[in-house]
Amino acid sequence: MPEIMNAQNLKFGYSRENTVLEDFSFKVKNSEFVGLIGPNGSGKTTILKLLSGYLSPKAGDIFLGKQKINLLSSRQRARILGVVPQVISTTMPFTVKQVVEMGRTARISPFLPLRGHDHEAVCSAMNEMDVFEIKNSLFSQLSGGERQRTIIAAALAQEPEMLLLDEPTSSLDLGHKLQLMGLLKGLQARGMTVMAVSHDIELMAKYCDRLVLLKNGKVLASGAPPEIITPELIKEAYGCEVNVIVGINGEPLISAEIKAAEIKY
Amino acid sequence: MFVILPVLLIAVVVGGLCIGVTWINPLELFNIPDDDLSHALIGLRISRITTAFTVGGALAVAGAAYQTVLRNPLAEPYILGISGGASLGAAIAIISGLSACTMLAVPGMAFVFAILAMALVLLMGRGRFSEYSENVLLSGVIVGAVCSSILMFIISTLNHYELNSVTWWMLGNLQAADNSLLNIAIAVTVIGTLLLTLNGRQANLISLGEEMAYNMGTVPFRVVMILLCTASLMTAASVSLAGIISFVGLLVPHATRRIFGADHRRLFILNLICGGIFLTACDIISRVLLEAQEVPVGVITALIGGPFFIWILNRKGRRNA
Amino acid sequence: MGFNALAKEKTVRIASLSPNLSELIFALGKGSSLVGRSSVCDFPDSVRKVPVVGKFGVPQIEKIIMVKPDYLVVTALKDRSMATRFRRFGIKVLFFNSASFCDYYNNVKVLGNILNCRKKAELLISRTKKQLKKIKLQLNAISLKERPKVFVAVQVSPLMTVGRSSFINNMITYAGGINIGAVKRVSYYRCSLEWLLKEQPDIILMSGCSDCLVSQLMNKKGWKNLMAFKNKKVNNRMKPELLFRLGPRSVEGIEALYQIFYEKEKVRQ
Repeated sequence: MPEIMNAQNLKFGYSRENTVLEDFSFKVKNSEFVGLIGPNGSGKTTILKLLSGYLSPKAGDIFLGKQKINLLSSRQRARILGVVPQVISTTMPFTVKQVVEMGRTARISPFLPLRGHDHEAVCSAMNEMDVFEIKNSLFSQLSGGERQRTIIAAALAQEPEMLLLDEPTSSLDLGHKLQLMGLLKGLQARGMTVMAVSHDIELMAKYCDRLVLLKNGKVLASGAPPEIITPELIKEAYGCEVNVIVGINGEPLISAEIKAAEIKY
Repeated sequence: MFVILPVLLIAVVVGGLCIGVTWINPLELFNIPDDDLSHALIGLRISRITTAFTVGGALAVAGAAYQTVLRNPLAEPYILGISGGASLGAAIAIISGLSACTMLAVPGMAFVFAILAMALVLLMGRGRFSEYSENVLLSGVIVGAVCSSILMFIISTLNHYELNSVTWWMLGNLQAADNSLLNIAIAVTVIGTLLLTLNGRQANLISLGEEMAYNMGTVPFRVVMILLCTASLMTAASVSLAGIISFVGLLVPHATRRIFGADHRRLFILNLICGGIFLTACDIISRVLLEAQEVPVGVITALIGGPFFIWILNRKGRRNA
Repeated sequence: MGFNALAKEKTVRIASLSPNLSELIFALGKGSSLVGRSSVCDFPDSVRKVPVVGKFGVPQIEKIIMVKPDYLVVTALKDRSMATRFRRFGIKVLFFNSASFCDYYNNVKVLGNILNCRKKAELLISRTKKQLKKIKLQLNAISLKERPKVFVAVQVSPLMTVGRSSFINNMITYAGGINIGAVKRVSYYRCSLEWLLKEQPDIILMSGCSDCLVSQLMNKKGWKNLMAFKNKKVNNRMKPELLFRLGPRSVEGIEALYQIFYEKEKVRQ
């Protein structure tokens, strides 16, 4: 199966001395659902920003399909790659519908209004993210979860081939969280590639085809969820003792050692 | 609201033509007595309305663009040091004696220094990894502070007469405009507003942050540059035409967004109209408030604009709460 | 009486920060008493030998202390609290008003007292009064209707003129003109070109404006519709210090104004 994204030997740091990533290589296959997990400061968000091309690496190449990402025009890139960042805030009084419509930017001529298919894409994105009822509310006055759903809807309206999500479930309630993951699974079934960064390991383990465990800017392990969610690897990455049990659907669940918590008291 | 705008527009134009030291009956506007004096009077009022409308419109549009790019509700056309640069240029024109030779010296020098300040800010703002707009805001404040401290130094060395000229220039004046200058400013304002409107979709994206704009398929740096340069040119043109008139560029964009929403594809044109109407109305008041004497229009914009602005904020805020 | 006796013992040392006061000191024949001047004091020529101790209204403390004056005379002081500071060094700061000829007479008297030349002061006052009376007699023949309406352009952008509270208004009246700016009870104020068009002054005084600026205005919308511009009754020839300085040469200024108002051939061609 061909790779939609291929990052080779990336090197990155926010200043001359500081190095976040060193010789980082990473591949995502077509129609794969990848979860990126790891402790705080392991470089998850940085990697996402590098893969989206927003940050340029000091060394190494990122291929999107067959093209280098920095050689694609911004519109070409945005038609392949949709990105949902962690937080978006604005004081501008945009309505939800206006924000979702912005997702069409790369698909339409900059000076012309939206056409039939654009409206369909916007409507179905709003329906899928459950924000159609609030489409005329002001984005700036929404709750965190509604905002997150609106931004995801905007990325869906973009109709990309691959979706990068940074902590997509962080402000969602249980219902919307499961709804979102189900939706992403459905998109995957229709051929979309999905890659998400999350702290919710169990949720990722349940839905992803492959988990990538990061530590200090390096890939610690990569593979099917049961191979990754093991007490040994969790201890190595997060430094805590856990037990792993198996859920009703065969998914790995983490049960923290009560003892480890008791010692602190 | 869209119906009210043309009505207001006609009202300020007719008001601007009729109200003044001598009152002209609106019905007589189509039938002006054929003597030199009446023609001169009408001609003066026309150029004054045009100046006020251009300056007000340019400042409001520029203010809207700055607030969008800098993502800061306190941003206004003078925040990037353009007014500081322009004042410095005007002061230099006055102390060097250039202003005594030609009426174009002060606006010319003001424009040149405004552009210099802008170029300096945009160059200094280039930094890695952090958002360009944040850097620009900081370097703008720094350039502004440096310009005003040099200006303070110059002011401290001035004699009384020159000091008066500089101070009066900084208070703003809608009468001084020379016709050729006015034409340039109109051209800059119209072209600038069109350019910004054409980039309206990109401006919408930029207001959600540079990363968001990038992800949705734009080149943030290019968009930021287009918006900032256009807005700065418009500000520079208005400042050199009429001096520093505060508040218009801060208030009008906020009010316009409150009433008409945030879509920049029409926001810039609406700002042009609203800013023009607002400043023309303020100018009419400044002309008639005291007999024979003129009140600086900047005083009126703040006095009228402040309460009006608070009313707009509360009105809309309550409805959405 | 006490300080008069003291003044007889030694010559009084005086520093002036106003050009009109410096002129007055020289007119009283006490130029040698002036030990410090402002940078704008320029008349008579011999005043230039006196060291500069500050700008108009802004004293340079150290320089003033160096020249050891008994008095510092000013018409304006940017920072009024300076006065108490000078008192600590034994320097008396005297304020002089300059808003009318009454103020001027009073200034002459006070300076005459300080400089111990009261006779000279009386003489100066009576001579000024006599000259003014002479002009007044000439004016008696001219009815109020024939007197020209005058506009003084202090500065063009923005347009500023003189009101009723300024001595310039006083001077124009003495010279037989009617200051159209007198409708306001202030010294200087900002007015509009529209108002000027409505008032249509007979004569416009633009002392200190360059010829170039005047000819630019002559071709500008609004300005060229002023009767004074059409009739070439715009005067920028008069020395600004004769108009804008209330001092011993003000009578000269009034005479110059009288010439401008009533001798048509001498008005700028």
